[in-house]
Amino acid sequence: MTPRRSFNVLVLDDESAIRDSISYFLEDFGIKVHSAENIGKARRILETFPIEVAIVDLRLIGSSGEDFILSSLETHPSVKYIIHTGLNDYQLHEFLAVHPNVSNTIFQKPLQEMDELYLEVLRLADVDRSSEE
Amino acid sequence: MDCMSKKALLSACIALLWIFSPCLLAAQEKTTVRIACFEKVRVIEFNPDGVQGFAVDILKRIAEEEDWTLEWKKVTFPVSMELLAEGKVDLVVPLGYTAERDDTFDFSEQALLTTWGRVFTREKSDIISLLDLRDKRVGYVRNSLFYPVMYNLIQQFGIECEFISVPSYDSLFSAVSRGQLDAGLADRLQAYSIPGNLKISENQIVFYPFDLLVAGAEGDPGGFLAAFDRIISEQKKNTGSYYYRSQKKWFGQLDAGGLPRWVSIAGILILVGGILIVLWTLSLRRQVAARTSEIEHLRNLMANIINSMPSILIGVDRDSRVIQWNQQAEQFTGIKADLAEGRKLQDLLPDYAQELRKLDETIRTRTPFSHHKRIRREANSVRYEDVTIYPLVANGVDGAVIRIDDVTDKTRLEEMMIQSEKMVSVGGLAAGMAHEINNPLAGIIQNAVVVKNRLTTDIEANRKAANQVGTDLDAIHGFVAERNIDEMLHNVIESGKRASRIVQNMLSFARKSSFQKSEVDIRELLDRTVELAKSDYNLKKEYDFRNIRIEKEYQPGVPSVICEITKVQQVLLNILRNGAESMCDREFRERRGRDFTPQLTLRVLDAGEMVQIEIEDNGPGIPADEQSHIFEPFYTTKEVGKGTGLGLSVSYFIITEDHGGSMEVASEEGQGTCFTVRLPISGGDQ
Repeated sequence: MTPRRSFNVLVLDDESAIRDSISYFLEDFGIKVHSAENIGKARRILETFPIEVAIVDLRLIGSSGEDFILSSLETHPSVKYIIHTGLNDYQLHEFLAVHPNVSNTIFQKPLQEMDELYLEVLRLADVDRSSEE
Repeated sequence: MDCMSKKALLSACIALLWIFSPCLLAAQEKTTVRIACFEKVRVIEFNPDGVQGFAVDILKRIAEEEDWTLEWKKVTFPVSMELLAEGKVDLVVPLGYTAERDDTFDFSEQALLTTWGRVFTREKSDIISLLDLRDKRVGYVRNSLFYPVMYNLIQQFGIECEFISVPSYDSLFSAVSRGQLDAGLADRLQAYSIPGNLKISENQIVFYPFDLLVAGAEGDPGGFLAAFDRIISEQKKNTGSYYYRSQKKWFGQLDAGGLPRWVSIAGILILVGGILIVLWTLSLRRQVAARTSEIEHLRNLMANIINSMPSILIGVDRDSRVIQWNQQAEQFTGIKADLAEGRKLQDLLPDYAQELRKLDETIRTRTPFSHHKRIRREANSVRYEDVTIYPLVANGVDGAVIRIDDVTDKTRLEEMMIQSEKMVSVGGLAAGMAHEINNPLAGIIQNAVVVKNRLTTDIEANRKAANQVGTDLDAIHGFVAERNIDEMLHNVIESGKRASRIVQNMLSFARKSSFQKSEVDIRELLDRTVELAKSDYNLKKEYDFRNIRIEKEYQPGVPSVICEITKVQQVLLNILRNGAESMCDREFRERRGRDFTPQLTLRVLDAGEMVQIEIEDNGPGIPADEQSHIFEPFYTTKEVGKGTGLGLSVSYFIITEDHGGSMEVASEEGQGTCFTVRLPISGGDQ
């Protein structure tokens, strides 16, 4: 179940319960998770760590996850993004919808199957799962 | 000598006289005409020297021409006729004609004078027409012919009065003048004899004109009547003749030999009036014809309007008898208008007895009565009707108009509108709530998943952590199992997921689906859905769907429908599941006994632009008061925890909003429930 290599993931969510659940969930698979409750901290993490995948909540207090992705795509073009939102009928920004670095799957809160998020993270990081189990 | 010669001369004269006496006698042998006469004012008047008057003048003149000697016998009226009858006189002057008299006597052809009867009243009397004689005292001179004439006349008018006879005209006029009589009947000529001191006026009432003639013996042996006729007819040709001169002498302007002047003027006026009336009548008749045609046209128009109305319109009189029965009423009752008219409405519409009881009150108080959405049960459906009773308010017309309108479609439409309004408001609420609920739900579910992962899965991180605290995973797994922690975590996660599904379902109201629609044969879709229901794990848990008998009544040739297949299938599955669950309700099964076989009847029908799907069960049915709520969100009759109360409301929304179709329920308690879904063939996207 664990990935063949360890890599860095950013979780940006202003709700600690959700942020923590995703962090703990991914950490259990050996992924290095860096969590941020706001865009400022997230940017610093991007600057500090070699983040490969960022899981981003859209509605953040005082700001928008979408704006964060749009700006980060320029500054850190190698990072892949997964959108994780409580909004049900969210229409993704056109630019993001077709961008290869943004997952086509929008993960809706609450996640019915958390495994699916894990698999998408692996896919975007281009990491196979280990077959040791 | 002188003496001798005188004597001789005298003798000779005497001799001559004697000799010529026959000649003299012959010359003196003029025809003597004996005339019986009686007094008639201005016509024959007696005086000490003999007679005078108009008739006397005329006859004297004729006597001159005919060389008659007139011998006047002054008698009374009855005696005059006796004398003539006995041949003691040759003529009676004057005499009115009667058939009876004509049997005994001959009459002149020519009239000596024309006269008539007249009603004499006191001055300023209020009698101005024959009708005013009703109950009055009317006098006449004994034996006067005016009495029988007037008697017959007023009989014809249907009035009665008291006739009193008096001996003479003098007494008649004095009685009238004194007011002892209200009126007197007399010849108009009597007016000349009224003494100036009497307060008598000639009334306007004139009657029975007749000629005063000369009567002679039967066969006119003396030729007197013929001579009279010949001379008078000559005289009448010339207005300057003595006949007319005599008339003027005796009667003045009053009598120019005919009717009084005012009678002629009145005659002309009447004639002119008559012509005007005829012209007026003709014009009136034309106007009436035009109006009649107009009225006929209007009547046709009104009948057309009344019959073109979609309402049943019935007019009744105050006794509730039908006076108007329009075409809709004919169609509704099957009773033709001509058979309905005149009959009691209560007999024709017995089902409406309750409303018709208000008819009398409505007419009396002139206050309309209405019963909205009255329910009428037909064999397979319920119809709604508005029954209104309008009183006829025009004065002089008592009655009412009963109007019955079928408002079933309108009522259904209203219900649908209310329903979709509710849905939309729920939708708006749901959209706002969803995000707020989803976040805490994510916190619950996702953390529970992590907790479960950490307590029950065998991963490196878990093993390492166990070792660090001096235990191992097996011990932890054992503890978790022993304390049912894994089950509890499962419950937390499942409950969270269920809450999440409720939110998702609610959001169906807010979102217009953008899913692709495609064509599908509803019969096949229904079959597939039944198969799905059979393998439904949730259904299997409670009962076996395969125990339910499925009856299919699919109409051949039903067109395909364009729809969101999975959504419609969701609706069908929902209905099937509800039906199955209701039929398998334990309490219901116990009540129905072992012989009960649950059955679902599936129908697919071609309904023109729509395809109609009916899913009918023979379960316990839905009470009437619940039927109107079952499409409302969160309305459920299931046990707590079993249903979300969103299934049917979401279904309703999918059918009506996403597809422009309709969804109805018909149910009778204890008999079962039938859901009817109608989907437009076109897919509802116009």
